[in-house]
Amino acid sequence: MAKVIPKSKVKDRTRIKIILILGLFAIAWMGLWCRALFVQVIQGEELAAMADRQYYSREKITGKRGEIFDRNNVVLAQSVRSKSVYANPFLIENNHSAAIDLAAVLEDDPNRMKTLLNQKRNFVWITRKVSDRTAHRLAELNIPGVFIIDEHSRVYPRGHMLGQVLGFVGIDNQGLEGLERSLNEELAGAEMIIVLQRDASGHKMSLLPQDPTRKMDGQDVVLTIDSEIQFAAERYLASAVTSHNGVSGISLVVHVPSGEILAWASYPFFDPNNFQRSHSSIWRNRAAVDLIEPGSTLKPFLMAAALEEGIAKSDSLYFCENGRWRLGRNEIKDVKGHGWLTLNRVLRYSSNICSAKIGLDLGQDQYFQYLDRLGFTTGTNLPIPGQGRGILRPPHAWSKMDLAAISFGQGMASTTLQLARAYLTLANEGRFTELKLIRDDSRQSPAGQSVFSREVSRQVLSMLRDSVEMDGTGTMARISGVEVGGKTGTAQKASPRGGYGDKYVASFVGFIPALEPEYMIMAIIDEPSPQHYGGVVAAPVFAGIGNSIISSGRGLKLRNIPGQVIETAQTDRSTENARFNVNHRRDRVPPGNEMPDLRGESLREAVENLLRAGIVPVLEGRGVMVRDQVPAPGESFSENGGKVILRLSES
Amino acid sequence: MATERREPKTRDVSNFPTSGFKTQDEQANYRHLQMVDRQLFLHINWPILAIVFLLFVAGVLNLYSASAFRIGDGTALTPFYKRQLIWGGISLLAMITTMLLDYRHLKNSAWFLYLVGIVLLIAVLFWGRTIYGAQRWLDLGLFHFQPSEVAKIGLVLVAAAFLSRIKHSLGFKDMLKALLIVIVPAYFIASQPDLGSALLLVFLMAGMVIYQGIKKNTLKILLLTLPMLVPLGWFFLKDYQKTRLLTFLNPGQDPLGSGYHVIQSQIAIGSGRFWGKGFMEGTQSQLRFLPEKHTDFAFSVLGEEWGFIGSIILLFLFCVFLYQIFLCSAEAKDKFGTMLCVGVFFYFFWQILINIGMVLGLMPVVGVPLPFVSYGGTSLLVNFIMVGLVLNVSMRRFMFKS
Repeated sequence: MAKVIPKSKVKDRTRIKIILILGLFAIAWMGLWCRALFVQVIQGEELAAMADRQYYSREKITGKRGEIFDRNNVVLAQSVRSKSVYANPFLIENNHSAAIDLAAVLEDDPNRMKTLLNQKRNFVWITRKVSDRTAHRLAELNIPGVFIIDEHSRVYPRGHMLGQVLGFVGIDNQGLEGLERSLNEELAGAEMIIVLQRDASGHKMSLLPQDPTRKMDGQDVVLTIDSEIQFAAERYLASAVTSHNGVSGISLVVHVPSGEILAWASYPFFDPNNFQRSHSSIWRNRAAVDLIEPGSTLKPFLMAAALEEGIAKSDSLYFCENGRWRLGRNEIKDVKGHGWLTLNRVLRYSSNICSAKIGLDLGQDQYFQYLDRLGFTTGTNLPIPGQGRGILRPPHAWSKMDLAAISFGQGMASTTLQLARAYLTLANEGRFTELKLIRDDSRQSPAGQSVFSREVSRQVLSMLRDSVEMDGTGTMARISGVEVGGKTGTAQKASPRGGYGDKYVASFVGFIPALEPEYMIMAIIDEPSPQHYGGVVAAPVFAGIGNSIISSGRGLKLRNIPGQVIETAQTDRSTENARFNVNHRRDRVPPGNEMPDLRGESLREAVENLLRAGIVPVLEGRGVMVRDQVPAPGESFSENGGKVILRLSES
Repeated sequence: MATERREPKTRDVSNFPTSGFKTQDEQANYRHLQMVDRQLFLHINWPILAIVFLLFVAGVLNLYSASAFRIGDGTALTPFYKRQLIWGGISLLAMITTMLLDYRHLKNSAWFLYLVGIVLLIAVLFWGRTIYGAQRWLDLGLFHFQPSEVAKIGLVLVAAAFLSRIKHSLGFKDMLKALLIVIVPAYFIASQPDLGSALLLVFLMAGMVIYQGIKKNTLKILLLTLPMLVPLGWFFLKDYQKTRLLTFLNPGQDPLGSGYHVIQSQIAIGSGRFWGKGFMEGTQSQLRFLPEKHTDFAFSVLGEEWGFIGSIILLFLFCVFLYQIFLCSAEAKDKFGTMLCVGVFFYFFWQILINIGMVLGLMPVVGVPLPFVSYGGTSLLVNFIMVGLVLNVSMRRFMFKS
């Protein structure tokens, strides 16, 4: 080996070789060390932040919006899970074909889709709240970057029932009109930013316990509405408006002792399920918003005030000038000429001339004071957005003619609700009573001040009874078997050009029973023709609704409505819910090591359940729902050699 | 079928004491073995064994963590670490077998093994199983077998045998021969395609050649021409290999595509920071952001869970391991033994350097596993056989005085 070359030289060479190799080795290792130092220590923080960014996604989740029930727990508005589709344009490989595919399934314009997908954002709504079938077809397309998520959409299972009162919500479940808007704070689910962990293929896992999500749901609201009475109210109102060629109509049923509104109908009907196809003139809540001249329906308050002030007695005589009476430059007319009438006949025959005389006797300050205490200058407490407060000028601005006109209900205006509240006060022994729409509403004021004495209100009620039960204007309001009372109203509508035109508002307010009222029913029909008398157009609505209340078995409860926690109604509600599958998430892992039944669960829930039990399942197939499982439910986890398989399907 | 020709040889060895002897050499060897058996046992290089054991344990633990909590496609839950343990047992037997047979005999059978390797490589071109678009495996029923690994052993043996016969620095002719020896298997492997293994063979040979020494003139010519040859190599690369190279130069250009591996690997290692996230806490691997975490990117999992400290310790272990092999090469009693150790040294050296370099983002993505840590049966087997060769040389360092 070392024969040719001197030994020292060989050693040198060997040493050089060794140094060379070790040097190479050392450089390489130093390089690796330095790099590890650089990546893990110097860049570490930055890279750790990058890691967090890709594991965790922050998502805003909104709790389920509270539901609205009637007094018997019938669902009037509920939240139902539905599917929405969004895209992350950055993850879409081929914008063009994706846009065409999406457009085909959604029956939309491909160009619109393309503009959506071309946006430089990582979140774009494609469509919201589509049918399950559409969502399924989209899922089958399996376009990368297009995702389907669950949202809640608002459903009004009773269609147009109570539509204007309930109002509606926007696409993001924010209340836009009606109770949905005014009670939005209570109803809306809490918003919460939750952190989801996400794996590389985008499966999201919530690592939070499940309880907090439950608290996020909005509060349910129970209304005083009784949907059976509401149904009747809507039905008779609709038939009255259509048969008398009216433009619109309102009917209202109030439980007198409590002031609870049992029915509140507006015609034309409004179905909040598709408010987009409707118009604000339809979804406007006329009873709360629109001002009307009460006309003759204001007269009972004048009588009561006169009686209360001792200016008149029920048998006081007034001369009705045979139908025409000149007051200054104006002439007041009655529909039918009368001579001398007692006070109760003035009301019964609804004489404007005699009303004006009584008003003049009473004086504007006194009269105003009564109207004010009856609530004609203040809106109601009801949580209805956009309520009017009426128009009632201060008494010093009234002329003599104004006082006369206001005495028979013209020259001032109020909302239907204000008028109803005033009648409620009259019916409740003269004690001011607020209307109620929400059960257990803490905002309600306690029993109000007394406006009329018991005797006076009773006297007026009996006059109202006479106008129906005897030969008055309201004879068409009679209900066989029960004594009712009421007042008709036939107000000329002020024309846009000033003065009064040939359009009328027909109205009727009545009580069942007449002297100790339990129900107050109000019906107003706008612009009926050719018949326009309240007694002809509106009184039958009262009779219809009253009849159906009395024959419904609910009947007269002697001035109180029971708590109404009726067993059947409760089960009703739960079946209603089951139909829409809104049951809460269940924790499906039983104690011990038995396999839970995960079939039909969503992939995420199934996996989370198993992970909590310390089991990592094997997934087969694609999709988001668990179709089948091994081991079968109830078997031990270790049945399949410790391997837990979930077979998936798309839905 | 090609492998079966190799089988009798190993069986020969394992049944050594009972079966008949084929050659005089073996008879002599047997007598010799019997005489010095205990002495041989005493000379076993225990440090190397200990480090290999540590590395293997670290690898299995790492695999255990890497295969946990994968929620996704079914196969992902296969307990890799169990298989690795089984392969570890098989490999240990193979290593002991390799140690028993006097390495001097390998000098003669080196060419045979080399040829067997090449035949297998040709066989894999025709009957190979394609996984992930590469035709690298022969299906042996029970498991898949990678002929390129046999070729690696063959090459180390042949290169050692070839270089040990040359007593001087390498001239141009010797260089050509060396090139020829390496280029044949490397070509077949590269066309599978498995550029990583092919490059490993070339680098392995280059390392051994440099150790042997090159004549000054030849060296000058090489230093002048090689840099010119490198750009030409570009045209032989496949498209995906070109992409990988470009990605290496600028990983951010396609973070979800070709740059994904590198970026995710860096995120994994970097997010481990100084102390690591802890065993079984590697979110990057458990949430499946880390690709190939069982095999080529196993070091990322380790770096994520054990941090800079873990990386340094592993690097230190490898360092000691390589240094021990290097010492063996210096202590070997004949040139063949020395070259054998040098070959094994470079075999491990390049693999570790390329793999960790790749995972740390210092080198382009080349499919080279990290010895003892990455999952892979055949590769583990070959690693242990390589260690067996070194131990073989090492334990016989006091015998066969020439």
